[in-house]
Amino acid sequence: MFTFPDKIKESLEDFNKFAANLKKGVENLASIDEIMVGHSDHHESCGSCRKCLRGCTEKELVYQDGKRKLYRYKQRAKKVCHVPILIVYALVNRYTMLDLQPNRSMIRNLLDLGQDVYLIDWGYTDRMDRFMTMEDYIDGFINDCVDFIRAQHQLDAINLLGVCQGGTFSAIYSALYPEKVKTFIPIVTPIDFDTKDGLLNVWATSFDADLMVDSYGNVPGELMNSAYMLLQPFTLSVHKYINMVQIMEDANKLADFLRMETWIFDSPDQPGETLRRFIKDFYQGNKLVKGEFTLGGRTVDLKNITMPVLNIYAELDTLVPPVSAKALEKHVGSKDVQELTYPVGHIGMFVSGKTQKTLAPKIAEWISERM
Amino acid sequence: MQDFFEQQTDWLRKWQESQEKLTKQYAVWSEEWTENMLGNKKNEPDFFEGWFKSQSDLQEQFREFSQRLNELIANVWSDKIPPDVMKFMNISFFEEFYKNWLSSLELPGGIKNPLGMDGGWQQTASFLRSFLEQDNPFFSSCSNTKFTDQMSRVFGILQGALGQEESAFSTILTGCQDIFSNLFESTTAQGAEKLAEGFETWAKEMEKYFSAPKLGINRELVHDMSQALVMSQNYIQTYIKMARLVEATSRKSGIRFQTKLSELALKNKPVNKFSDFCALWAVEHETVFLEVLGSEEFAKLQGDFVNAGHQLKIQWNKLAEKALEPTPIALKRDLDLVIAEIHQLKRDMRIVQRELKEKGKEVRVAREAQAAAEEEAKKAITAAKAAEAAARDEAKEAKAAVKTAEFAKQAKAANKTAKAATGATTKTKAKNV
Repeated sequence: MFTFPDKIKESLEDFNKFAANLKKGVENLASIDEIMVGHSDHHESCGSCRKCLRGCTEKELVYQDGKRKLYRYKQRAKKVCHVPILIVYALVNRYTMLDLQPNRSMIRNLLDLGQDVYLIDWGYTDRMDRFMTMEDYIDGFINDCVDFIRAQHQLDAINLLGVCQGGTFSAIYSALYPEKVKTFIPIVTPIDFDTKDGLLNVWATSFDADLMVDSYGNVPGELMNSAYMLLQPFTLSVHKYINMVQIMEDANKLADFLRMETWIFDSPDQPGETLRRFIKDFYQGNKLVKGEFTLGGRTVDLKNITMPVLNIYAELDTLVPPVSAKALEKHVGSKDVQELTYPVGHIGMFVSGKTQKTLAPKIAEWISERM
Repeated sequence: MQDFFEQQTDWLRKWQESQEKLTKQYAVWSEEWTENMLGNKKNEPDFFEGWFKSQSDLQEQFREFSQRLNELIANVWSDKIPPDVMKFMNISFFEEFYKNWLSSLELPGGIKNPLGMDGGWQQTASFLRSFLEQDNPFFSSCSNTKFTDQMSRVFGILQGALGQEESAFSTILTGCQDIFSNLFESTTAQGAEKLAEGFETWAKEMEKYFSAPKLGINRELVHDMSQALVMSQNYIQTYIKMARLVEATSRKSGIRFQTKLSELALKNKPVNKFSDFCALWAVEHETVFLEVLGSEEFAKLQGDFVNAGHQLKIQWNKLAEKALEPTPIALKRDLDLVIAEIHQLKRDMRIVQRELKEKGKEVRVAREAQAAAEEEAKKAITAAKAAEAAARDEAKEAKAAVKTAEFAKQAKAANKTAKAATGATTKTKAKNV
């Protein structure tokens, strides 16, 4: 191995740049302390300043059941569609991903296109939610929210948009209550769990969900996060932070990075009973596509999903393999099924530059065509 | 706080200046080396010594930088971002990268670099250990600190509740506690194996005691303890298997990384830039690890390991609850029962609320129907009245018409009579004429 002195010089100069970035980054951190203190509760109405950390778009609480809340976002443009969209997020992590900051917000983009947007906030799971079942979430709160919106707007059916696990819940809902769903838009939604494309799918087969829930009760969010980090261990634990140094000198980019990190580690615990069933019936039993899944004593038949479906998934998703999401098409009864894919990862679907400009317009256009 | 930031900024500025000075010095040494190689200058005996010293100075400087920066980050960030994020914002691993990056800038002719590449860091296992020691959930299955914490708490409860009464139990608990804390501190699979051997021997002794407990000792508790021991052995065995796999994979990925590094240098494309060096390290290691993590064998091993951990945790919780039974403290299972009960009540209430809502809807619909019917009835009555009035009017009109007709008839008759009378008069007149 032979390294020329001029190369060494070049290397050291490069490293000095790296070190200078670190120095500047620390100075930036000292000067932007207000940014990270900000929270949606304090800055809900702002929507443009750097202090807004999460949940940047203004919204109004319209319905509540305990810690579960239904929000309606304030109109930002002339309404073009009389049928509102209800967004059902996953129980894993927080909905704030959809409205992370003004220039990274699927919700804001939909509002700017004249859509009327409602969103379910599941809140932070605590011990009192230990026995919350999928029935409670789907037959209970989702159904209550849908009925509330239908009554408010005097409509028979509304548009349902589900994200990840929230998409799976929404698929079940749409199959059980097709008369209340005008269109169904699952985004990065796992449907067929019998695949070896995803590490989670492979690992889940050898995993005793009963033991886990019986020992933990609610499963800690931190534990879930550790499992997700194991999907790309070196990238997510080391490489990401080395890359962070490169952008630290730019206060805005640093703030963006830290917002994202804050979202990643904002992981509510998983309600024990629901997670137990999700692992056993879906990851291990793949009951949804087998037509064996039951909710509240009724068998869930995906063929009942007869409304128009826009299935959106990420080609580079490591959490929900594309094949798992794509499977929906062949199991639903609808004759109007469209697919929309992006060359991004699971989270990139909502925050990457590639999707910011086109995802919301495509959803809005697709809905308008069906009104 | 302002002073603190000023101090830190000042320190950072000084550090950067010093860093630049040292790198320049290092570069000068490199240039001198070139001169030597070209034979333009006489080779000085202390040349390499100087080079090595400047490298060591650089590393030392970075070490200090790294440590102080960590302190600074903790001060600046701790109240701004969640603790979980903070855990990852530990930049001490930069130091490791830096050291190895410096040492990768190898000297010609195979001269050994004083910083060395054989310090174990290249074997990823030691890198992983540094993560585990920092309470980082990296490779969470091997460093489930929550699990250890909870177990320690259970040990504490058990020792508090039983230890004094049952000296044998106390011995068992202390033994278990020691073995687990050592296990989580052990840095190699080999170390863990040695611990496990010791544990096996100790467990056998304990089993003897369990199989013939002293008189007066709670036999149910003995049975539970015995089960916990078996489960502990199971857990430790799976832990060791996991540690072995991680170590073997680390070795493999370390070799792959070094090979890539050498290949690139031989192609005259040495990985000079620090960030490139780190990126290569992450990419090469991840490639190897993902291959292993995606295998069914790993899934099974991980499943066995995690399941054994959960089983053990449940057993220890059970023991802790038994120890707490005589106390007035509410047990987890009691609380769970209460929570389940409250939850069921809430669920029932929601069903009733929904039913009431539905009934309310039905009542509203019925009321609306009734109101509509009443409205219809009203309308019908009004219409009937109107019809009656109209009929009356019509009758009146008819009567009047009849009268008019009669009158007309009479008029006609009178007219006729008159005419007749007029005719007779005319005739009479004519006759008379």
